[in-house]
Amino acid sequence: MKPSTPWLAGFRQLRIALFAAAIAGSLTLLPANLQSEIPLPPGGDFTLQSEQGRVSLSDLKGQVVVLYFGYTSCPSVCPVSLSMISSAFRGLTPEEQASVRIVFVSVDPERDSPKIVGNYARAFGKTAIGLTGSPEQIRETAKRYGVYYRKANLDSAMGYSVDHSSVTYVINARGRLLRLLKHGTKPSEIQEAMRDAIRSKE
Amino acid sequence: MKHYIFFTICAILPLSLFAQNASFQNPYVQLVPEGMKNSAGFVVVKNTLDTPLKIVRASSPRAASVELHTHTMENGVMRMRPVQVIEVPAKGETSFDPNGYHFMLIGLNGKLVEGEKIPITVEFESGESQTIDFTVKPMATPAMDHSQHSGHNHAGHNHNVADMVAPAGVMGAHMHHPGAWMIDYRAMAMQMNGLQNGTRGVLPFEVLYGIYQDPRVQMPMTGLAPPSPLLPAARIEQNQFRYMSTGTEMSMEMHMISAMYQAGSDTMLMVMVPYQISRMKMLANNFQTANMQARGVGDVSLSATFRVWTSDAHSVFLGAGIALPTGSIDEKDWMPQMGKSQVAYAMQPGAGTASFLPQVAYTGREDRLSWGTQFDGTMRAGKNDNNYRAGNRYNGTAWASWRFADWISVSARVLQQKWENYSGQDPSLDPMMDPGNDPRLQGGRRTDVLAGVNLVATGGAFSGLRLLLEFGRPVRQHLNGPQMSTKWTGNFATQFSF
Repeated sequence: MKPSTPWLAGFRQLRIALFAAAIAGSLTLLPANLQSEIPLPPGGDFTLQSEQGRVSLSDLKGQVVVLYFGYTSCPSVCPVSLSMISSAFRGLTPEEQASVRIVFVSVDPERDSPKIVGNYARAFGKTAIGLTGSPEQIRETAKRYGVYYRKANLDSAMGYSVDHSSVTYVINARGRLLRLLKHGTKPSEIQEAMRDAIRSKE
Repeated sequence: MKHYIFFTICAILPLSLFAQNASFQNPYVQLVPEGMKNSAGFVVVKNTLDTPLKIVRASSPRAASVELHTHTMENGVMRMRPVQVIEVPAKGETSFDPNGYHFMLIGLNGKLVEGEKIPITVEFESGESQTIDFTVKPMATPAMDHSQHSGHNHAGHNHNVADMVAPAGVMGAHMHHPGAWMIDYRAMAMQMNGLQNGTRGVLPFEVLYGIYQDPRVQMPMTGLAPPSPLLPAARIEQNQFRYMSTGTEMSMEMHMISAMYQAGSDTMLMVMVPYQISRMKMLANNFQTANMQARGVGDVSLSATFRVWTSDAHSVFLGAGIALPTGSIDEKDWMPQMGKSQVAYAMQPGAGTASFLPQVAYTGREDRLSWGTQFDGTMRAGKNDNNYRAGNRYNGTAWASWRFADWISVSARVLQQKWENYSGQDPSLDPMMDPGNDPRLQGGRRTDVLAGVNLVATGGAFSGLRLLLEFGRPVRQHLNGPQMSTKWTGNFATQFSF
């Protein structure tokens, strides 16, 4: 007969495996929440054209601004990003919604008139603002926020498209740029960033 | 024979759904605000031919022109470019999604209305063309925390949430993006304690043959203790079993490594290698105890799961597989009074024959809640070299899980299992000796309730790594003849996909 071993000793490998897995798990889940941050560009005030006339960022003081640069002929990247922002916005309480403003800035001033861009922005939120301006105004604003964009002439009925970076900017009620959210950031994270910005006082 | 027919039906049924040369799945055009001149159409194009399909042109009565475009995203910069040809590989598929190819509708005439059908004619290099109705849908507006639908595989969809896979104890029934590989390790543990006949618990002494219990044997009374007060006389007389030994406790550990490959958006192929460790505590009628053990690789299985139907919230899967007789059916260990001998049927790692593995499953999800049900069977092909046929097994399970955050979800599950008696008999296992050796005392059924937690790393270097844990207890079990009853089960799984 085999020498008797303490009963349940048999689950040793399993226990070791579980223990190792638990350690590995906590190690991998930890850095998951420490998203790598893009260095912040200077940001700051700008003045552009809306359907209702000139709008400056400083006019929106007292409200958190969620800023996105794109163009209305953009087939998917812009609408996808904006609908992520829109979805995050809709998840806020009415009080929170009142203190957050979605702002869309066109990087295609040639085609995007204030009317077109305003109409486009409102599809993503009743209070959302669409802005455009002269090519110089757009260039200056884009530079402040580190936005890359470039007209690309295409062999297409569209004439040209605009290559551009897809980043969401979160600006607090005092006009300070707090965070950049890279392309593909989930609505839950955008919402968290909105709430953080509402709480941010400086 | 019945089983072969069933298996064949399971294998052929999903294949018949891919009859066309090119099929267009989930075609939609993005709804754009009124006044916008352009929009984009998305679809998954599948090619069932042995040669690649080339899409060269497209047109629609609703737009001045339709072009083939692609998107690239480099360092956060989005670039859109027209392309001349979009190829759908032989027996493969190409996804037109918001992060890649799309049909660019330029110069829309009239505004788009949600739910409206936009016909787009797609021309192939061969000169053939096909007109597909694209449905107008709102711009991908993901609900809060819900940028994934189980339905499709757009690159924009996020599969990296905890409840994307079923609880730890359920295998299969989910899809990844085409071409994805997944490595999966699972451990299942089961602890059995005490004997049970039907639903009634029995003592080992009711099962073992004790000479002092036998009314036909006249025991010399001198120098011996009187019959134990622990064993009421009535019960002794009712003792219908006269075994020399019986198991009193048993533990089963099953370690499974599997590799899965997503062969198309709706087909998942899997190879699984199980390793089984069984330990049994034996009690002999001379009060000797012993720990017996058997371990080894079990029956390696090959299987395929097909998603046969899907909508945004619901998916239906059919699966078929075969387990090969790679596991040993000749494991031996030391046994009291007997020396080295064959271990009981339930401890053998293999079935000795091929087994067919049919499966049907349904999963659904709504925001943070997801649920599913799965039925599967293990059906033995026939008798093995040791002249017996292991019993078939059937499982049915249903679960619901709640996602607290992308990285964590908890689940509750009910599992009903039924396993049949064996037929035939292993000549080296004497059924008179031990109830575990009796092929007619192997079957049973059991209902377990299980609670589980799913974790997934949503970012960092190990993004996509999953850890799943589940623990269950039986609430009902009915066993054919004296068998050890299950006290608890535990499942652990970790998965990595790339």
